[in-house]
Amino acid sequence: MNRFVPIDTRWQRRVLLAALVVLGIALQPVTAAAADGVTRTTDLTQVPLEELLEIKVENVYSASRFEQSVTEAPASVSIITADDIRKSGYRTLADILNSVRGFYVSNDRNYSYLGVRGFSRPGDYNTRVLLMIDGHRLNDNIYDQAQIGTEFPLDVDLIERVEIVRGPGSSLYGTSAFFAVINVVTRPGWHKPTGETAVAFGSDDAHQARLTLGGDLPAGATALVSGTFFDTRGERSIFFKEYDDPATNHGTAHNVDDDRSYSLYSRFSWRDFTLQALFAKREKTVPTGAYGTVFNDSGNRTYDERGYLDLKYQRKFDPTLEILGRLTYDSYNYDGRYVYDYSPGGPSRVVNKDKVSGRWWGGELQLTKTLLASHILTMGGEWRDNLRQDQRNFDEQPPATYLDDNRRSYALGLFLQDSWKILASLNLTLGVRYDYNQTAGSATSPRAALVYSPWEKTAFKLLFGAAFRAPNANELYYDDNGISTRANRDLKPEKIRTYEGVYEQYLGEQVRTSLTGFYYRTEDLISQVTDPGSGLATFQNIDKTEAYGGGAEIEGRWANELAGRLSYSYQVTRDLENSERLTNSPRQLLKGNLTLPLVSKYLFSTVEVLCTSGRRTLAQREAGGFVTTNLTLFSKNLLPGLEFSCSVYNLFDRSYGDPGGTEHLQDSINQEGRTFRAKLSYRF
Amino acid sequence: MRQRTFWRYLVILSLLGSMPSLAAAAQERVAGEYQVKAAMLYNVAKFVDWPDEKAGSDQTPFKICIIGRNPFGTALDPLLGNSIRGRKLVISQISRPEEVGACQLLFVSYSERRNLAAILDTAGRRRVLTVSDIDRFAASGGMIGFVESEGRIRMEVNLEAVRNADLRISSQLLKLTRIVKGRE
Repeated sequence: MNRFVPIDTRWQRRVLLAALVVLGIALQPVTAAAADGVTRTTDLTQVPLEELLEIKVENVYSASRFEQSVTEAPASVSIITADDIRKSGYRTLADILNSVRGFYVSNDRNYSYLGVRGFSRPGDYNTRVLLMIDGHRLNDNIYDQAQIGTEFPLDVDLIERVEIVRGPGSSLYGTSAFFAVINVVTRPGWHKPTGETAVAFGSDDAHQARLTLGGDLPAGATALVSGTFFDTRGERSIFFKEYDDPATNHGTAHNVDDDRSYSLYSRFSWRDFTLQALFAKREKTVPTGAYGTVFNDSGNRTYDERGYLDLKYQRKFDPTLEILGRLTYDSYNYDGRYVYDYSPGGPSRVVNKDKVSGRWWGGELQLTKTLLASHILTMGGEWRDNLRQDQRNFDEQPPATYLDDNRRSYALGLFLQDSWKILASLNLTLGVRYDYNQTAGSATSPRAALVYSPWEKTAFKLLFGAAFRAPNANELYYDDNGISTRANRDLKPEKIRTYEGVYEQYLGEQVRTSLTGFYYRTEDLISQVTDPGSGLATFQNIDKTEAYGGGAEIEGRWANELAGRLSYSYQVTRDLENSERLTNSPRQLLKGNLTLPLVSKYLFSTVEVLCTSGRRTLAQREAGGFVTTNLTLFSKNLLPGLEFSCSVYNLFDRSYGDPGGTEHLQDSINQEGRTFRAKLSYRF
Repeated sequence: MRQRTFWRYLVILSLLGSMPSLAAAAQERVAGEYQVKAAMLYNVAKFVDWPDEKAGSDQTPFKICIIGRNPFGTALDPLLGNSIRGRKLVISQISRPEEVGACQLLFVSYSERRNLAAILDTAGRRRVLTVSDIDRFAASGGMIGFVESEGRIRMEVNLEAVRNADLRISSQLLKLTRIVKGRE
């Protein structure tokens, strides 16, 4: 075990050194700004109209459930815009989130797993992060999974911005808003009838096509309809040393990494009503031999199908009163096909199916009212009726059923928040939410935030929050009759308490910096354990953990579209039972992203460098730290409506692995080397 | 080999780090929504021609009026003390459409969306330029609508409404807007 340590230390030293160099140079604008006088006029009336149109109005909705500026928000917030997505060549939501301070994404060649502040638990399908599209909850009602990879049901081209709010959000959003709340805002439609098409080609025989149409309809309605198709063969040959045996093709998974998906999205707005409909399906071959299946068999596949209808009514009666109502219907289907060899004593190839079907509808009502000019009250309630939470597991031929579990349940929540402007420079946010979940009981989540802004460009934030996550149907009811997993219906909600301090400072008008420090403590974390008596896996409320750390970020955007972000985060996580560091928890993350205009208004190059330090694996080994570099050339306006981009991912072909979950024999799962993508989009 | 790779990243990172000084002169900013809208009101006024009887003389002030609840807070303060076409700028709050006659520019607050037709009708007849951030303002008969797009404030213009009120918007301004009704 010891021989892995030096790699990490060396890596840490490297990162530390690099961080020092970078921070040293990054501090240049501070001194430069001080020299030419930061007291640059903030009087916008003297700014020409052309430039006014380019000024960014930085608002965030998700932190308080009403629009406010990033500095006012009672949380540490990051925003990635459509512009960042295009210029950095992000292909999936996972790519986007991986570029965000303190976040990291690991991949087991089927799903992408989001790590936040050092937490990425084995077998956690992003259940501790609330993911929304335009405020519509995306986590399903069986696994509570937030899907962020190619299974994310929206083409990233349709994203206007992604709001990332760190820390718990249960006081407003209830279950799952444990470590962070992520809201994907879709882009606005067009008034004039407009179409847009995009095609992309890339390594591994990847291709993608999209068609989006939109415009005004009669009677003041506006419509946007979009469809995307994506297909890739995946990496042709992947070597896993754990399977290096003549019986398992010498460890090579050949042509079993393909990924195919389609998604349809539409939105109709009429007056204060917005109707959104989304449906997406992804089919992925699993190359890793997960769950002890036959290695290198193309029959190992998962199908994920997600859809919803969302009718929203939002009306601002005057600047002091806004009402939002929502009616939703959601569906999620999962179909996992796993090939087993039952010999000796049984057939040598049996397809075992894991089928899951979820249906739910819900409603939400929210009122935002300004009182006495100094209080903004947000109150509301939410109701969710899980019409169907079905899980089945069976063999196809010869038929055998191991699990057939059908459930129905409901959950409701009530919340109240007051954002109180005590003084012009001091704002106190107090909020609490009560949740009742039919299966897991009730939970109360408070939050308190003090934001002090002594000067216009400075904000100090002191944040306290508590959150919970109710056990999901899979953790509660998955029981295959003594084969691998036993149900535990006594699970209770897991809990977290967090304390955070944030210092945000604008330097001049172009540069934003922030500094944060945090302490998180979780209790009754639901984890899978193996019962020593029966040898069966089961979920229990056992883990007590803590994490502390901090981060620094500097971000700049300039008028000629020059932009850059640089962030560093340090986090220490610990299991309080045995004082050991958590698995898949890097100590340090360093991320840099720079967009340079090569030809002003026409051609841009973006370099992104992502450094992740070593992570412990389930087998108590070390998955070494690594640095990946992505490069994108992006051009627009060459012809009206035409955009072209060319990206190279993992430019230096760095080989690295992500720690795997318990379902994998591989301790660390190899990731893909250098790949490229070319993309063309045309608006007509 | 490992060392060489390391230095390569160091160079890239240093490049990233030195980026702010590469373009110290560049100007993109971040500001509050109504600060930007206030500055845009002021700027727009400079690009519009009123018919003579409405334009008034150099001695009369140029009047920007706000109808309904004022969403600007202190954001209009920097405008005070400025002048438009050599005329002193004043800002006044009105509550009824009939008071619009003395104004050159009228900002219609969100709170007035239900009275929009009556306000636009009176303002148009009195040759007042109407501006608002009510959804689809320009398409619903207003003259200039502020809309948010990609985190920035854009303008939509209803040229038909502008012409019906005998106002003229300079082509310089039109270049920066989206025309939702009427032709250039």
